[in-house]
Amino acid sequence: MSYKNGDPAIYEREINPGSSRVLVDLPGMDLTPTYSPDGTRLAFGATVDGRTEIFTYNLSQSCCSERVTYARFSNSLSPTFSPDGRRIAFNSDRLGQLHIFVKELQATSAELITPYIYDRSVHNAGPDWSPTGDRLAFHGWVAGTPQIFTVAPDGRGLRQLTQEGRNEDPSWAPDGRHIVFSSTRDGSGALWVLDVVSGRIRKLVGGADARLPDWSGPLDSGRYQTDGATVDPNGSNP
Amino acid sequence: MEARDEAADREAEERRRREEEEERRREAERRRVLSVLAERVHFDFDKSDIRADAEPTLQRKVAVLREYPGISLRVEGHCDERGSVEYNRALGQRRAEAVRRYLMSYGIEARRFETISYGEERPLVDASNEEAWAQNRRAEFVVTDRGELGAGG
Repeated sequence: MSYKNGDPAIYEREINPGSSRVLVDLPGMDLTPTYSPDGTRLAFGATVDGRTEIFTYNLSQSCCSERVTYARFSNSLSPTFSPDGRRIAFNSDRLGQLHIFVKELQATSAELITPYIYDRSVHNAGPDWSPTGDRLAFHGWVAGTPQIFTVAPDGRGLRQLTQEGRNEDPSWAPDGRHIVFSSTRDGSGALWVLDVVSGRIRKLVGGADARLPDWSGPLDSGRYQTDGATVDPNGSNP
Repeated sequence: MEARDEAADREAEERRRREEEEERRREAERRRVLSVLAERVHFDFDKSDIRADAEPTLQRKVAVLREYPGISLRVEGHCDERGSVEYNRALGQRRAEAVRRYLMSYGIEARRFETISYGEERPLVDASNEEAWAQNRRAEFVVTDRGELGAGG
């Protein structure tokens, strides 16, 4: 997402040589884009009646923005695809608190997967579906401070993974074991990597108020081919 | 001859004085209009409703926008740092849209506004306390076309 032409739109940037082009520009603000695992589609948030709803866009045909969420008077954003590309998890305030929902792209209803508590300060955001499919990472407020959690796509097995400082916007490694996230745990904004199995945490990038990390797909895995090649969960170990 | 020169000089002097006076008046009016348009409005935590204390501010803008139909505005929505970065971009957009809708409900045409959200990226006060957060939850106004107000000031 970039503001470079005034009205925020979704751009695609070649990392080398660094050129970029507009992918989608709907009226209003286009934000929180994500690629589908096979690279053929994009999901993103866009403005509808002054609110935000989620749309998909067909990259292989370069056309057809399709609206996938319908929640009057509320907002849906920050989509993330399941590994098979058939479902999305996303963020919505439709229950009066910010929660994570899961939805079949073709279905009309969405399932709540984060616990509903009668407390105004509930704020679960930034979901990322693991490449292995069995867990979702997100951040949720604990006493007003964001911490990293994981939960199964059916809402079971909620686990809090961080305690120290503000910890936000997790993104899974292709191995489904490591998570990169932004944290203020040592005073300034930095990116940290967490090994979900051992619980070990190490600093990755610091010093530049780094945030909103997103781990790349596995290299050389055929992930971006459109011939049905799937992701090898043991592919590249970071 | 000399008397006529003196009269002409006086007239020229008088005209210059009147022009200066007129320019001062225009400058004061420009400043008044721009300061009314620049007044920020603030929001409650995680809300995009127009607060009662924001209405007088917005009503002053309505009056100015009616008086100067050539003026266009960009409404910028901003948030405090507490929500998620992504959520705040959407929330800022709602704040900007709420302001636009309010002004439109008093008859100002849609084409005179654009809206944008900067989420939590551009805090007014760079601190982490209630006072700073309250200041940072705001809509700002940028004049994109001065219309009949013209340049200067």
